[in-house]
Amino acid sequence: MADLFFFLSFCIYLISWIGFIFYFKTLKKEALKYAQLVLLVGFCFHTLFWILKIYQIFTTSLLSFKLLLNFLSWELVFIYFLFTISPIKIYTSGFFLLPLVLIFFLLSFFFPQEVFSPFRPHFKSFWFPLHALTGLISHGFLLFGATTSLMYILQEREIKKKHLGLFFKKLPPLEYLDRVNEKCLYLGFIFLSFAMISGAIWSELAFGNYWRWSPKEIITLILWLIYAVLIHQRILIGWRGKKAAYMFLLGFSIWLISFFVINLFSKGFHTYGS
Amino acid sequence: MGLEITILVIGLNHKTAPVEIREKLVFKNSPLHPLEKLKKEVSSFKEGLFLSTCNRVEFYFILEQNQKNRFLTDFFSFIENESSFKWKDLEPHFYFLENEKAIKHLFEVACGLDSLVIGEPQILGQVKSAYKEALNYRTSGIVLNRLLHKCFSVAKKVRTETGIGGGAISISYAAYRLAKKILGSLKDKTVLLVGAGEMAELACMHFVSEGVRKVLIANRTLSKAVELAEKFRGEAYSLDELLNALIKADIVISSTGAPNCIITKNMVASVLKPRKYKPLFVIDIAVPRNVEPEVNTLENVYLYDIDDLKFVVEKNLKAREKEATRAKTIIETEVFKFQKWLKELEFYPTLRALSEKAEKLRQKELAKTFKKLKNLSEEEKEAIEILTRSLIQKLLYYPINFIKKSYHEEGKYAISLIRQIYELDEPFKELSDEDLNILSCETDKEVSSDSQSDSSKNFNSKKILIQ
Repeated sequence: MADLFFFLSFCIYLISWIGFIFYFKTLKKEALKYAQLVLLVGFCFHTLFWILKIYQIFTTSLLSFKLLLNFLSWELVFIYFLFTISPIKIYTSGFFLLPLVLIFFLLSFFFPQEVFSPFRPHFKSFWFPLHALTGLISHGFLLFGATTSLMYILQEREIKKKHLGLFFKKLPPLEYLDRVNEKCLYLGFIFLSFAMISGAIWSELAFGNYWRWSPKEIITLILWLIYAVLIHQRILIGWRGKKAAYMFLLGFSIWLISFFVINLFSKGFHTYGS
Repeated sequence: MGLEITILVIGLNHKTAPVEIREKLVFKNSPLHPLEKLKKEVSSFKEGLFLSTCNRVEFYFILEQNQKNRFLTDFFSFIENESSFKWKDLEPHFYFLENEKAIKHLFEVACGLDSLVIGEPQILGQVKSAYKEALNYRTSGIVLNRLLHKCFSVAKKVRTETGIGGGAISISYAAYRLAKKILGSLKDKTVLLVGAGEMAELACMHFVSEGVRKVLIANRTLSKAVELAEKFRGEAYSLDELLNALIKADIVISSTGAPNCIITKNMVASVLKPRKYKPLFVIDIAVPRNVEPEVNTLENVYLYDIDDLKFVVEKNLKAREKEATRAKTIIETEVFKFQKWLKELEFYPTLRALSEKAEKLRQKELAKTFKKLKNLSEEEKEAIEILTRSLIQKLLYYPINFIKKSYHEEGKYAISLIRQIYELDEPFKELSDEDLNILSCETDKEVSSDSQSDSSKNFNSKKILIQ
């Protein structure tokens, strides 16, 4: 059953992306309406998939790495709808975001099943799911912010160089993109902080110390520091626009390392490396 | 016979005639509308429409084909009377388009393809009001009504399916569009005018009509700044206070007559921090330039001078020209559709005459039958009624289909043939029994040939049996 929902939501997302491509090309309102509608249907199936999966995770106590990727794609679509109902209209972001969603889907499909988290008894604590969930949510906002940052940079370059081309015509105003970046920054920071705090508490309960300097912890700390600097500069000095967008992309590349390289290849209690 | 009409456009526009001639033909001064006058003086047209804008004066007429020459001489003398020009002098400026070309021309005009600025939207409204006037003076009939409605839907289609109306094509609108792309909504933004000249005021208009929050005016002479500030309900500054104004502004429009740069890179760099790096859009429409070009290198500051904006406008115009070719293909297919409708209009009277005649015959025969059979119930009567009706429908299917199908290949021949066969142009007359004798002979023959074929069939089957 879950496999069916998985397959369905993937196909529907793909169709929706085609709709977004059409919207990007023509900027027709109907195209957007249908693309969003299709996306919503896909999202419903995806949610059903997750309801079934969560039940499975609780009964089998197994959390494989491929599911994390899948959760991220679910979250990205969720955040897209979150911004769709907010007053900042950045509809064309669907065109850039859905490839990311689809890639995560494909990765989660092709990833070997064997890579899963070592679910020891002490994982069954209140703090562990909190830690994992807030961590994943912060990743979602980071990825979304990185997408809009990319859109910002593409368009800003055209305006600055006075070559008003494709992106100038299709993308939402710079100001809106920057405001989305700002929101993603704050939300991502808050959730990342939660994840670190809950992780530390859980680590204390399970292993007896708060901080263990594992590679994952170190790189997360770096990410958190980048966030902190960005927020500090933004509020006090007014770092925004291009600089903020580039910082977001830097954060994104660090996240790539932390999520794919360290999670899979480094050894430690935190990661999926064997 | 069918309708044989000509659609005719007589007109001149900005490409064919100078303004001295166009202005004489706008008919603005006379108390009577030209259509009203035409109706009185030139009666030889069926339908008419008069379109007058600052770039064109056009008459659209629907004529009967054989009336065309008479109409033209009438029309020329009408124009001579109205314009005080000799027709000889005017003729080279006029264009005459007929039928397919005329339809195409109207569609192109309504879509703005024939306008001075390609794709400008006002022309459609002007065509609409011209049509309203034609309705008012009752000079619009079946053909023009259909043509104009088609024309409006084509214009709408072209506008939604091509980018003919896309992209800013005036400097101030291009600046406004850029500002929207950089700053998003302009509702909470502040505009700073540097220089209180007319240029700055004009450029500011777009922003004000879009509802910017505040207008600041900085000028060398403070009194003029105050004057303009009152008009826009803004704040006035002298040029010495420019830095303060720059801190508050989001959009700067500069158009002073100063010979050197008033806004330097250092100045703008010094206000970046107090502005908290909020984006700043600087529009420099002055020549010589008022803003140092290096200002554009600063973070979150975007400088566009008059040449940059002109470049944007030219690029948009080129894009519109490209879209115009796409629009033309849409128009082409719609012209074809309309012509098809016109042709249907030509054979429509024949179809009607045919079915009317059949109906008359049916009624007569029914009346006869009902006279003879008096004891029919209502149900039976209805059944006979239905029988006759469907018989006629099925018999008429063949000639009607013949006209509709063979029209394009055999032209009017099909129509005249059908009219002759069914005697549609002669008065209705009852068919006597003698007339019908021809029929019975032929059916006898048919029957005999049928029986022959039957016997041959039998023969064949016998053969098969023997084998």
